[in-house]
Amino acid sequence: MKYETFEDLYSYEALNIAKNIIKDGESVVITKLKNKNIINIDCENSEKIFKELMNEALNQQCRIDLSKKNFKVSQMIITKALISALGEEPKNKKRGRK
Amino acid sequence: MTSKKPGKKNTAKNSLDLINIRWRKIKNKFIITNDFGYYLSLNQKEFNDLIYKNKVSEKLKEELISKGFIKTHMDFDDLFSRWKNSNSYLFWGPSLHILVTTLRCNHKCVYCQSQAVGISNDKTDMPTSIAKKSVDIAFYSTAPVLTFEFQGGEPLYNWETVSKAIKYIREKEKNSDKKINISIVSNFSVMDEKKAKFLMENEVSICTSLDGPEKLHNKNRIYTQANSYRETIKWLKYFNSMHDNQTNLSYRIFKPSALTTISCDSLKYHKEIIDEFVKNDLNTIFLRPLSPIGFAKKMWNKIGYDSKSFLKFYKDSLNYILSLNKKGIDIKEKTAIMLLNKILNAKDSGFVDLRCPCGAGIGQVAYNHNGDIYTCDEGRMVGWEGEDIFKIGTVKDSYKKIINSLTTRTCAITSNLENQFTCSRCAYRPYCGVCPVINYESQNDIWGNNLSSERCKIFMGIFDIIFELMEDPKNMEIFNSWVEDKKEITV
Amino acid sequence: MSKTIEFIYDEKKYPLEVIRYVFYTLSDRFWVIINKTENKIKVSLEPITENSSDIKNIKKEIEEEFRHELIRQKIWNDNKDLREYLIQKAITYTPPAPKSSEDGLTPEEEKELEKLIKEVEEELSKEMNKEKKNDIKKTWEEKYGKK
Repeated sequence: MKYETFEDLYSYEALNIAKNIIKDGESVVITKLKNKNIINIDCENSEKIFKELMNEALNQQCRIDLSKKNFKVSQMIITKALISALGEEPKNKKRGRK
Repeated sequence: MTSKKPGKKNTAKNSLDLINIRWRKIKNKFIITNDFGYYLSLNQKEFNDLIYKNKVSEKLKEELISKGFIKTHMDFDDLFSRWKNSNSYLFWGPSLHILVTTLRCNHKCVYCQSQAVGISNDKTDMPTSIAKKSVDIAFYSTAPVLTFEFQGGEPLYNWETVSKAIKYIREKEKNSDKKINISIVSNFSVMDEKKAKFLMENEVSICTSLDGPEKLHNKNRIYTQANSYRETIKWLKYFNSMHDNQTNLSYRIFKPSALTTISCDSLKYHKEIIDEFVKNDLNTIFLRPLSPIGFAKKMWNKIGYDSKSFLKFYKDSLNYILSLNKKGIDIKEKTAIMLLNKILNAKDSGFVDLRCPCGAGIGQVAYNHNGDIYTCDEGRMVGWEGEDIFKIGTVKDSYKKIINSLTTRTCAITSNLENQFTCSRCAYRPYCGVCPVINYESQNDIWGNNLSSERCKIFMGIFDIIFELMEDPKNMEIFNSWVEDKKEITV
Repeated sequence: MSKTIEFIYDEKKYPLEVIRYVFYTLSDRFWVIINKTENKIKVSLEPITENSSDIKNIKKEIEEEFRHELIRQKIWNDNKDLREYLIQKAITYTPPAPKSSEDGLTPEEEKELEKLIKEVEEELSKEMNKEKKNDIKKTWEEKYGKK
């Protein structure tokens, strides 16, 4: 089975991630052209695999779009969390046990 | 919550400048929330007026302003301090450190996620040297409060390491400005008075598993050498008695607690399970759904259930607990307490799964018996199956290397709700979180797809149940008593 | 035989992002394929199982989701910069130092102290009422008359 889709509808990145998540994704080959992506599925259940691929690619594409939109806020939160967690030398303060 | 005086004309004036509003429909009400964790419950008309016509009554407008839904007149001190309090975990490192001191266990629990092995297999005992190295690493954390949790298998099977590690922690505490909590999760089958005395003298919180009345408990928690339920109850009574009768001691004895794991057999017995807790003087019950990880994943078709089944059980249980509260019986549900603390008090519940980003590696760390370190206990269980995808280092690595590991950073990025498509739009975004480990195990994708995620459905359902119950003032009174402000560290 | 339904949208009226999200919400019940046709966006929906939702209800559901999502996008776009500013400020926020009384107590400690004082006063007044009943407060002369 062969299907052509536009890069702005389903990006190459989204399709590739989707291919690695779905069952039988190894039978999917995605070829990137100028502003299109060609999906080739060469196995028995190709239609079902194609549908699963497109649903998963939609999920991934939505997420990729959101990550770009929310990049700044997302980065602020992650950076704060990781930097705070990095730790320091334990202070040698003598303190009695409560 | 809003009320309109009957016959009062809608006095909507200027249109509104709404900011970061999210909403969810629950039956005939709409819950709206914002980034600061404030919420309001609107009826259909109020919601339509707000969202589609951008005009509301003066009273509702005042509420919207006071809660930061409208751009003008924002009380920045209130909003920023509220945001900071509810996200206080962003300001320090891992506070929960889980030491898996052995995988040996004499129980064969049907839902076991910890990959327990037989009691003769002492190759899975954590050497004392590794336990001490784990403790050393933990003390590097910037968290002002550290909780060390001893788990297994059955940790008491490696008593030498457990006892030495506890002494080591208390020694290090003397030279540290951190507050230290220690707890142990045990099935009590190899508990004795000597061990009990040591644990109490070292202020170790005792936690066990109690799945309900004897028949149900023993069905879930198979122990061929004796009666698991009776051993559990015997020691619960012992520790309760020691707690209740403590006087003039130089140490504090904590009240014991118990965890309940809900299997498919448990779903029919919500009253019996809760009554069992009340009967045994346990005033908090934690109704946790099963996660499809480890052994539980393999046995899922026998012990598992879907989100609908669990939510029915949870709703019936919470209603029953509230009815007991109305009769003056002290019993609370822990998930509800954690969520209500977030909703009502803008307080971080300490539940490392329900935060943004999740606590994998930065809120909790799991130290395996062989010195391997994982993002969390669930990540460790995935590792036992042969996939070390959630391993972040070993006890030979420095603390900074562990926190900086690619896996830690990946879990933080993938569990950041700003990057999660459905979460970023969800009304429960200020109070919720995702788990990359469960996503990976159940959906083969560390990012996950919330639309088909049973975990997401469960938590959304729990939030729906709680917000629905909050509409009743009598329930609100009880909920408020569960989450009365206690002294906490604020940033 | 599965029934496929198609929807066609003008991208000027319905941004692609909005169309994607709306149909994503159905992707647990329908196979969704988005394509382009004559400068418009075409979406095909096919039920995953034979017992999937009624097609009429789906159209209503889609309409409502579009209404909600368009409003969400507008609020989001209008407030993107402000939201980034607010979160940044919240992360770096330092609360003002609490005003303490001459005793050096914080407002919370003052409240606690007031509460305790009130409780003690209530206890005392209860005790005093008891004493009145027991006549303890009366002097010897008042009780037994002058010598």
